[in-house]
Amino acid sequence: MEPKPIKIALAGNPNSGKTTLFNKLTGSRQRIGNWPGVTIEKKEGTVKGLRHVTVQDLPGIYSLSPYTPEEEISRNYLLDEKPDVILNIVDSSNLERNLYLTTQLLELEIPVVVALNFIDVARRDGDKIDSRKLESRLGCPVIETSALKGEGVEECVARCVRMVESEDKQDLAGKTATRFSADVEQAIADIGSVIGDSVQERRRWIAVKAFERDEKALAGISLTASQKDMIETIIRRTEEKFDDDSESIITAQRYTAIGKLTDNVIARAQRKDNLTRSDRIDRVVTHRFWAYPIFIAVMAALYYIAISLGINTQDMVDGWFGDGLIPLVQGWMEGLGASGWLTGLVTDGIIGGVGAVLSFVPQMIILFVLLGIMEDIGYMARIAFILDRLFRRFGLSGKSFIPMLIGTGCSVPGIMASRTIESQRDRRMTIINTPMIPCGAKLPIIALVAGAVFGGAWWVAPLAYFLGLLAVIVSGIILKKTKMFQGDPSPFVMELPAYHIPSVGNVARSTWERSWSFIKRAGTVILLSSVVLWFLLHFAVIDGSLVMIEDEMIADSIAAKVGAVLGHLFAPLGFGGWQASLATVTGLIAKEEVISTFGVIFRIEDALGIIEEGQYAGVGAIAQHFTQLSAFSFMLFNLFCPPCFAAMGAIKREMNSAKWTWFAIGYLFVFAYILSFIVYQIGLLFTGGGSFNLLSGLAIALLAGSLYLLFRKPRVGVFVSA
Amino acid sequence: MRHRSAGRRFVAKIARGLRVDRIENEGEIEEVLTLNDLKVGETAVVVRLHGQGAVRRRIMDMGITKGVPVRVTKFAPLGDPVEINVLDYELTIRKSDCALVEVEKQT
Repeated sequence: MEPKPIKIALAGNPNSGKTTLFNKLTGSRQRIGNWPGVTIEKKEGTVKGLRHVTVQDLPGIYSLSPYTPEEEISRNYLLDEKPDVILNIVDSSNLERNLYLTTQLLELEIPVVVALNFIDVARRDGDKIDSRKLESRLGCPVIETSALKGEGVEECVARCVRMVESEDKQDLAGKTATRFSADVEQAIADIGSVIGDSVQERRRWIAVKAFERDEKALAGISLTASQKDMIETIIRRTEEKFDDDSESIITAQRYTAIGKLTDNVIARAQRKDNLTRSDRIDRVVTHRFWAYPIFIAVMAALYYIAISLGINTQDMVDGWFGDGLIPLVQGWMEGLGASGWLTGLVTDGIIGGVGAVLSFVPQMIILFVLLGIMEDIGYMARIAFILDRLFRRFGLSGKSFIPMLIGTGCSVPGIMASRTIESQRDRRMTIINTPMIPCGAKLPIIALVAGAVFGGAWWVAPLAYFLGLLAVIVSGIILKKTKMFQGDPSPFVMELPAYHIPSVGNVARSTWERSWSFIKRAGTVILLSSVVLWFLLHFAVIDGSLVMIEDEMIADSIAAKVGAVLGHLFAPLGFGGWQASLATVTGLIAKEEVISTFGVIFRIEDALGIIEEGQYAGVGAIAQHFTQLSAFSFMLFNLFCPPCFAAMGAIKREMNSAKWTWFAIGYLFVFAYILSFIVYQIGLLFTGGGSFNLLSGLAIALLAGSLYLLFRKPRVGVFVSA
Repeated sequence: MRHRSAGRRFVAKIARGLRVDRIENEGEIEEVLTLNDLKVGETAVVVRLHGQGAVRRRIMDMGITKGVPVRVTKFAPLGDPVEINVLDYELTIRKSDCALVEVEKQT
C-alpha cells in the first residue's frame, strides 16, 4: 500500500543552517520558484529514499510577527496549508533567540520537531548542551544535528514521520505552549472565553494574537463590536498592571520563559579573554581605520577576478559562437540549400542572439561563486554594517554596493546580486539604479565620443563614470522622496552572524540556481527580441512588398524607417537622424551594438575593433555625424537609458512583477531623456548654436523641476533615517 | 489603537524623531537613559521600548526586551550603526533606533 503523503515544513532563523539541512534532506530533488507576488525563494523537495515525504523550505525568520513579507509567508503557509509537521532548526550557539521562534511554532497546534544544529561547533568549543532536559521542558522531540556533516539528519526525518503517524495529537498546543505569568494567562483565558465558539481550532494562539492586537491574525475571524470592546478592556487592564503595551508584555514574557527553559541546559565553556573567533576577526574587519582599506582590497580582488577572468571567458564563448558554430551552421544550412533569409535568421538572429546571452554565463558563474563564498562566510553582513551610514543618505542600503560594483562589469549579474538585500524596498531601489553605472559594453560608446568627437580628451571617460555615480546618487535621493519609496524606513536591525567556513555544497548550489535561472529567463527574452530585431534590420518594404535586403541597404530597412520615426523623439536631444536613433535602438540588444550599427550604416568594417584599438581616424565618418554637444548628449542618453534586453530580463526576474519591471524601464528612459534634454538644450545656449526658444525654456523648467525633486523635504518626516 | 497616555506618546515621538535624552513625561522633565548613551563596552538592562510598529517589534523579536542585559560592542567606522551584544550574539541597529530603547545601568 502506498504510504500516506507527509508534508514537513522547515522553519528556522536565518543563518541557522536551514539551507544546508534542506539540501541534505532532499539531495537534488528540489523545485525552486518564487512565492506568489514576492521575490522570496520558494523551495520544495522530496526526502531522499522516502518519496512520500516532501519538505517545504520556509524563508528564514526570527518571529511569526506580521511585519516582513518573509514572516507573513511563513505564517500563512503554516496556518493555511497545514503541514503535517514542522521541523524547526535551531542554532545551538544561539539557543535563546532561536527558541523564541520555537515558542511561537509550538502554539500552532502542529507537531514540532526541533533540530539542534551546529552541535559539532558547540562540542568543539567545549559547550555542553543537555538536549534531553530541553526536550522534556519543551514537550517536543529535540535532536542534535550537524547539517553540514549529515549528523542526525535521518533521525530528524524519522522523528517527523513518527510524530505524524502517532495518534497522540490531542491538545498539542495545550501541552507545549509557553506559559506566561499568572496575570497574562488570566487575560488570555478571559479573551479566550470572549471569543468562545467564534473559532474552532488554535484557540490559544488566536487568544494570544488578540492580546497582542495582531489584526492580520484576526482578519478571518468575525467578532462583534461588543466582543472587540470586551477584549480591548481586558488588554487595557493588563497593560495598566504592567505599565507596558501588550506586544511588549508578550515578547518580554516569551524571553523570560525561554530563560527558564534553557536554565541549566547549556554550560558554555569559558573562553580565553572572552572573545570568540568571530569577535577576533571582526576586530580587524570592522576596525575604525582598517575596515575600509580591507573592504576596498576585498572588492578590488572580487572585481579583478570576476571582470578580468570574466571578460576572457566572454571572449572565449563569443569565439566559439562567432568563429566556430556560426560558420559551421551557415555552411551546413547553405549545403542543404536553405534560403538566405533562413540561414541569416538562424545564424545571425538566433545563434548570435543566444550567444550574446551565453557569453555572460561564465563570467556570471565566477561572480556567483565569489559572492556565494562571501555570503557563506558572513562578510556580506559586515559590508552592510560598515557602509550603511553612507548609502542610507541616498535611499540605498549598505548592501546596495555590491550590485553596483558588479554593474561596472555587467548590469545583468549586478542586478542579480541585489538578491542579497532583504528589504524589498531597498532591493527595488537598487535594481532600478544599478543599470546607470556604465557597464563594460558601454565603454566603446564612451570611447567613440571621447576619441573621435572630442579628439581624445582625457576627461570624457572619467566624467562618464563620475556622472554614472552621480546619477545613482541623484536618482536615489529623488526616488527616496517619492510616494512609492517613502513611508516606513526599512529597519536596519540585522544579526552579525558568526563567521563560518564556506561550504562547497552551498556555494555550488547557490551558483547553479542563480546561473540557471539567468540562462532560462533572460535567454527567452533576448532570443525573442533578437529575432524580431533581425527581421526589422534585414527586411524592407519596397513597392508594397516585403523583401530581404543586403547589409548595404540598411537605410531602406524597416528598422531604419522605425529609426526615422523615433528620430522625432530624439531630435530635441540633438540626434534626430535615423542613424543615431537606430543605433540607440539596436543598443537594446547589447550596448556594443550601438557601435556595430554605426559601422554597418557608415560602411566601416569592424568599427568596434577600430575603436578598441584607438584608431579613431577610421571612424571619422561617425564623428562627423555629430557635433560635440550632440555627441555628448547621445552618450549620456545611451549610458542611462534602459539597458540591454539581457539586463531587462534580469530586472524582470528580480522584480518578479510586471508593474515594477515596467516602472524601472520607464523610469530609466525618462531619467535619461530628461537629462540629455537639459544638457543639450541648455548647452546650445552656451555654445552659441542656438537662441533662447521654447525648448530651452522647457529645459530650464525641467532642470528646476529636477532640482526641486532632489532637494525637497520628504513629505513624511517622522522617522529620521539618515 | 494603542493605549498610551499623551505624555508617553510624546516621549515616543521625541525619542524617535529627535534623539534627545531629556524627555517630558506627564509634565515633568525626566532624564532617560537610552542605548545611545552607552559607551563601548558598557552594559545596561532594558527598561522599556518606545516607538511603535515594525521596527520596534523587530527589535523586540531580536531579544531586546524588558529586563534583558545589553552591551555595546562597537560602533561602525562612521559612527553608525551600533553593534550590540544581546543574548550572547551580535546585533546591529541604527542609532536612531537605539534611541527607542530605554535602559538602566546596573549599580
